Amino acid sequence: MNSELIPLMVVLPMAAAVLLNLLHGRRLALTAAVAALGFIFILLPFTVAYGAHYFGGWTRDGATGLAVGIIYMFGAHQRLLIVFLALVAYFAAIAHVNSGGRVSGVYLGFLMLGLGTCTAVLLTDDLFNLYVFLEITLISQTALVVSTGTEGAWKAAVKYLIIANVAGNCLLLGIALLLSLVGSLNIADMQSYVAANGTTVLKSPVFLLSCALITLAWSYASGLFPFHNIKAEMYSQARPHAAGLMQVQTKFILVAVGLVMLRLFGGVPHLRTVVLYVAMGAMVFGVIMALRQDNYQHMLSYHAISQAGYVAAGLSIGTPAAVAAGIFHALNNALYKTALFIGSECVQRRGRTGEFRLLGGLMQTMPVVAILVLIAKLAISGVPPFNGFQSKFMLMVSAFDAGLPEVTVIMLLVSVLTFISMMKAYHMVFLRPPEAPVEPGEAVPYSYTITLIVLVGLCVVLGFYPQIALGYIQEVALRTGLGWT
Amino acid sequence: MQAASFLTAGALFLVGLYAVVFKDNLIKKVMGLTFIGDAVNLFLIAMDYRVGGIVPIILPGVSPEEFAAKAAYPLTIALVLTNIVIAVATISLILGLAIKIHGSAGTLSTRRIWKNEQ
Repeated sequence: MNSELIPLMVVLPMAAAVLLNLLHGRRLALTAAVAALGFIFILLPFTVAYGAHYFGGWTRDGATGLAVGIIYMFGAHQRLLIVFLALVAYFAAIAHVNSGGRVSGVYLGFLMLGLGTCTAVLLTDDLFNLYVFLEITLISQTALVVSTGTEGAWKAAVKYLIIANVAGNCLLLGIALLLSLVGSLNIADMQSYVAANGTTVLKSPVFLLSCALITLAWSYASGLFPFHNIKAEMYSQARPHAAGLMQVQTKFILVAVGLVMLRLFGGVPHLRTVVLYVAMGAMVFGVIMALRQDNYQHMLSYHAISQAGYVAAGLSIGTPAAVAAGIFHALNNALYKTALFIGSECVQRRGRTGEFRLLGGLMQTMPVVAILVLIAKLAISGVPPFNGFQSKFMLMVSAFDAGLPEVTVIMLLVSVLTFISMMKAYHMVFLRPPEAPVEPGEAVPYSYTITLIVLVGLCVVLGFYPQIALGYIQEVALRTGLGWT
Repeated sequence: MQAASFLTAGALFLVGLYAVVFKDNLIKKVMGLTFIGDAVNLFLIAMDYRVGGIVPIILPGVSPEEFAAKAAYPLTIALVLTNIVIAVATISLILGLAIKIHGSAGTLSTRRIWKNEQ
């Protein structure tokens, strides 16, 4: 059956992007539009039934069985990912509206554009469609960074775009090579081709070259090692709420493309081992770089890279338990990391800076925010009973069960380093008295505190009841997961 | 013909990659990017080249059998068109940023632009 409502999850945010652009300069209208649209986008995935949408009504060719048009697939894990994405986009939009400065319809439009395109990446079962929306997501992310209007942002954006362009062309070349083998751009068709041709295709140079090109592009789009610095620089230059949304988009793209890679290239010898090394590289280098930072947002940016390493590790181990843990970690990360970025925006407003040496004593001036940020920091460090503990523990157990105790040890060590880094930052920003008297900055708007309460509340709920999220994830993990050999 | 196109595409890709990696001037890097994009587009078009083929449009006088036997595969052409649009957006954005950077930093040398970055 052709489920007609599935594309609405992509079309409506993109239409909202156009609408918000048209409302540019009208503060009241923009505020009302954001409030209304946010709720719609969060609730929409719950109203859409699971299934497939065949664009143009084109199903599959009767003779060859290959897909004729673009197909969107909507399942349980996609529902949860899209809801979380919409939630974070909504909070980012609310943060911008209440930031005290000029409300920009163009900026809000790019937030919504990113929501729509990232949703498309999650839904599509067509590899070229995935490429197109991936590129538009990268452009929308660049626009969010560039909008800060600083020279640092322009420089970071240019570097990001140049390498994104090369990576995008590598991805397209990889897709073209697969198309030449299969004769279709549909991922399910490609998966059937690989399954039908068994070991023959795994030795095909064309297939292996395609695999290498797509892996390279995936590594870049996900901000994994060796591209971690570029992504972290982008997060550092964006407004904190935008950085929160960008890192969620990146994690979800990592999951979406990672699942495609498992379906297509899961059997390629040594690939998952190489990707596992890349993931561990991101985990380790991310946390080491975070420890060296003397700016709060820069530190969080490198932690975002380190956490992406955990997600990629789960997907590269590839067993059903590891895949479930990886996706669960991406969801958890969306919650606590966004909370930390919003918390960093509160710190920058109240403390007038993000530099550690100039901050201090904010526990006295904003105690509620300080407590909420502490919970988010404990969650990202994997301290029980919060959600980060649940997914990190699942990742460690799945690595151990797959016969990779060394990966478990590295995950544990990175978790300890994350805890040290987070507590050091917390002490410097909130607990210790400031080195020099600081003139208090602007008060934190209530909307920021409410955002933090919701995000941290979800961290606690998923910490106690992880089965709520896992119920949505299990099916795709069992369907996609493979054995570790 | 097809092999020559593949070789040309490969050469364009390598020249573009060389410019992106080794050239210092930002505009030369952008030129390298356009070379890479053109290489991929040429590869896509060459992929479905047919000796003695016809354009994939049903014209008067072309029977369905002849069309099925001779018409070039139209999908890759659609991919190329989409890719050109994406490339226009990306390259325009980079060039716009290059103008801003040149205005503030007074140089297009990437070594100097990125010297003090993390």
